[in-house]
Formats: sequence, structure tokens, C-alpha cells
Amino acid sequence: MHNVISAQMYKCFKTKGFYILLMIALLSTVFDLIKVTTTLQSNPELKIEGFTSTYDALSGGLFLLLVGIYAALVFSSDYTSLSIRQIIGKGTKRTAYILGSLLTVTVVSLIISSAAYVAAFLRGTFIGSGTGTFDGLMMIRFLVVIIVFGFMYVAFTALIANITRKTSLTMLISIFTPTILQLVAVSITSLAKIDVLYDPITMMDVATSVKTSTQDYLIAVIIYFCAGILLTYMSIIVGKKKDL
Amino acid sequence: MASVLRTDSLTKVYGKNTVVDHVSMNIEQGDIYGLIGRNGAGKTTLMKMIGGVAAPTSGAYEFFGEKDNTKTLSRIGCLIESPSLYPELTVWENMMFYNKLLGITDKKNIDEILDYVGISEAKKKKTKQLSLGMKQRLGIGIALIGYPDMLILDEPINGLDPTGIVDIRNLLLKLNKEKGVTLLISSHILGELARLATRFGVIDRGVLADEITYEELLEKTRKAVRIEGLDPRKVAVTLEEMKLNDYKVIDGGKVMVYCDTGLSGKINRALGEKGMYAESIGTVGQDLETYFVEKMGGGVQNA
Repeated sequence: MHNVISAQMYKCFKTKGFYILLMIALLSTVFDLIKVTTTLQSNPELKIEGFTSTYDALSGGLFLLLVGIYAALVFSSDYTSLSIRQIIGKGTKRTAYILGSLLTVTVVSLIISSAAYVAAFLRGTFIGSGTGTFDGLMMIRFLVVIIVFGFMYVAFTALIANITRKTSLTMLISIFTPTILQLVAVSITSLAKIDVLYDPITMMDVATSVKTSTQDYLIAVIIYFCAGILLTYMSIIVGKKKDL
Repeated sequence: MASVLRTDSLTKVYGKNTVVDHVSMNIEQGDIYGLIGRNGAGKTTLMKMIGGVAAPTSGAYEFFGEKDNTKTLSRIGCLIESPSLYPELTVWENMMFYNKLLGITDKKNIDEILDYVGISEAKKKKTKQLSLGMKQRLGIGIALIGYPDMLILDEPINGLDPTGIVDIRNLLLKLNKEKGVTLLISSHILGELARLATRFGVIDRGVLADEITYEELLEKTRKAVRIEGLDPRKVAVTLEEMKLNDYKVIDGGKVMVYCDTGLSGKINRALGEKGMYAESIGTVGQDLETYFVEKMGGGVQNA
């Protein structure tokens, strides 16, 4: 599996797609920075609370979009280019290939999204003459959620890529599924008059909120992690069954 | 010779369609095994199973006498259908990707292989800029990473121009002779395969219809005049007088004279002048195309 990770990492850093997505992440942070600076100038009494605005930026679609696009590109490109035949034909086990690729994409997706994350941290802490406050515990909580959520989302995209084996279809499904899930969850919870919204995005709201209890936070993290493991397992089963 | 690949009743069924039907074959070290068959005959599916990218419905195969193929696949290089390349990566980077996949840290082999397959000058080019011939060479180069003992090449000359075909043929012959690489090559271009292979397997509708060595093929496709019903010793004297020295006696009395089949009348007359009248005198030997077309079920494309 180590070899798969090494090869996939190499490929990733040699392709334009990675740098384009990284650029998008950085540009969005720059725009966000300008927006916050302008807001602070017009409203000097406003305080930026640590990572809150970062989370807003990332969970507000950009994070999902970037991870979804990147994961779809990596997983399905091996199928569409038929490189997967060459990879498996070289003696790589399919489980090792799927797990190695999944880990690579998760890490790279985190690198992409963390660019925006780090920039927002700096902004939250230093801009506005230090009006922002650094909350270490909140940062760790946020990081853990991002990691497990990223892992789950990448595993979901890997499963879709293994089923469809088409880049555009994988991309579409992986980008729109969380939104659809959210709509379904919102509809169900509003119909059933339940207070807490159990959908992937709202649960992230809960997990990263300062007001959320440690128990609720841990439940969200465990749910994300278990979902990721389950999706990975399904991905391996589907990937192993299909001929290439 | 040691067996490199042995298949035992290898079968692949998709739905109700049996694409490969109980294929048992044996490839020995140093062989250039040519797999011939029409489009859709089952060549690619057979190669996919052997290359580990498709699971057999039934049957088994083993490399180097080892049944656990996960241990031996690293000794095999595959190029199935078309070279699978990452278009954004350069020639060298594509090679590096597979080097890393096999855990090879020394980068020297990349330049060595690129040099060997003749595309070292294009190593900085992105693969999307390469011609089909160069892509095929790179595909073979990738298959050579790890210096495998056997190469499985599915239609490696498909779509190439005549110069490209000659180049790839020479490269494969060089690999076989200099590096001792055993080759399994599929093609539906009979003439090309006949120039390369030392053994042939004819596949028709998923069934291995015939297996034949190059020598046997030559024998079967060799043109000859066949004389029956005469004393072979007396016939031999006449043939020697006619300076037709390439002949042999088969099946207890038939004389096969390997010569221009247009000479049959002349031979008949010469024998008749000596009072020898053959029961039958005729020509035998199909050309290569006719031979394989018959074995392939009577029709072939691009033959």
C-alpha cells in the first residue's frame, strides 16, 4: 500500500488539477479576506471568533466542491485512462490500490482545504488589531471533524467512481449528493418536527459549534468515521468484483 | 524448457455468452506465442484473465509453476488493448509513476528502458503529444519496468503505420533474443504474427482451436507436389535427375516434393517417360492466410 500512496502522491503533484484546485482555495481565501477587512472597516466593533469564519467558508460548499472534484478526478481517471489495468497488472492488489488511493486523496484534499483554513486562521487571529482570539481546543475539534468528514466524503466518491467509472458522472454525483441528502434530511426532520438535523452538513455545524457538548461532538465524529469505514469497505467489495 | 504460463480450462462467461471456453495452453520460457483470432474471438478477455484484471468464471492459470498469482504478477508485464498513459505526465514521469508503484528507488532503469525501446529523446514530452507508435513503445517500456520475465501484449501493432509495425516487431524480437523475455502476443494481422511467433494458438469463438509451432506451420503451409502409388526409391532417382532434391517420403510411400507446384506436370511427364504412372499426383499446401482462416472458423478481418 505504501507504494500505491507514493505513486499516487507523485502523480498528484505532477498534475495541473491539484494546483488549480489549490489556487481556487487560496483565491477564495483572498476574496474572503478582502470581504472581512472591508466589513471590519465599516463596522469596527465587529469581532471575528477564531475559526468560525473559516468553517463558514469551507463548509459553505467550497470544501465539499474541492474535495469532490479532486477525488472524482483521481479515482475515475485511473478507470477512464485504463491505467488501472496496468496498475493491477503490475501485481498491485486491488485492496491495496483502493486503500492507498483513498488515503492519498484524503491527505491531498486536506492539503487543498487547509490552505484556506490556515489563511483564515491567520486572518481570524491577526486582522482587526487582534480582535480575533485563538482557541486551541476549537482548532483541534475543527481539524478532527475536517479529517473524518473529508475521509468519509472521499470514500463516498471512491465508491461512486468504482461503480460508474466515469469522471463527469462521479463528479456530479459526489458534488450534489450531500446537498440532496441535506434536503432530504431537512424535509424529514421538519415533517417529523425533530430539532436536530441529521444530515452530513448540518451535523458538521453541530460538531464544530462552540456550544455543542463533547458527547454530541464525539457522536458526530464517530458517525463520520464509521460511515467512512463502511463506504471504504463497500468500495473494496465493488472494486474487487468488477473486471477491468 | 521450463513452463512460464500454463492455463487449465480457463473460462469466462458474461451472462449467457461464453467468451473464453475451457482454454488450456502452455507457454514455455523463450517462446513467442502468437494468439490469433478474429475480432471478438476472446483474445483480449483471455489476456485480461491471465494479466489478473478479469476474474475467470472457472479454470485456473499459473505462472512459473506457482499457483498464487499475486506472487508472480510482478514478473509479468502487460499491455492490454492500448497503452494506458497519464496524458498530463511526461514520458519519464509516466515511467516514474510505475517505478514508484513497484517500489523501485533507483531511477537509472527508466533511462535504460526508454533507451531500449527507442524513445529516450521524447522523455520530456507529455504523453498526449506522442504519436501512436511512440505511445505503443512507451506502453511496452512501462510493461518492462521491473524487468519482467514475460510480456503479455494485446494487439501491440494495432493502428500502426508500416514503419511503426516494423519497429515494434524488431523491438519485440530484440527483447526475446537479448533479454530472454517470453512473449504472448495477440493479433488479427496474420502476416505480422507469422514473422514474430515461434508458436501459435488459434482462438475461435473462445475456443483454442489449434496450437502449432512455427516449424509445424511451415510444414503445413509449404507448397509441395505429392506423388502416390509408386516406388519411392525409383521416384527419387527421377527427382534427382531433375535436380529436385527437396523431397521426403511420408505415410509409407507417398513422396512429397517441395518445389514450385507448377512443376507437377513436368514431374508427371518425366515419371511417365520411365514407365512410372502414379495413382495420383497433385499439389498440397495452403498459404498462411488460408490455413489460419480455416482454423478461425472461415472468416477473418484485416487478414
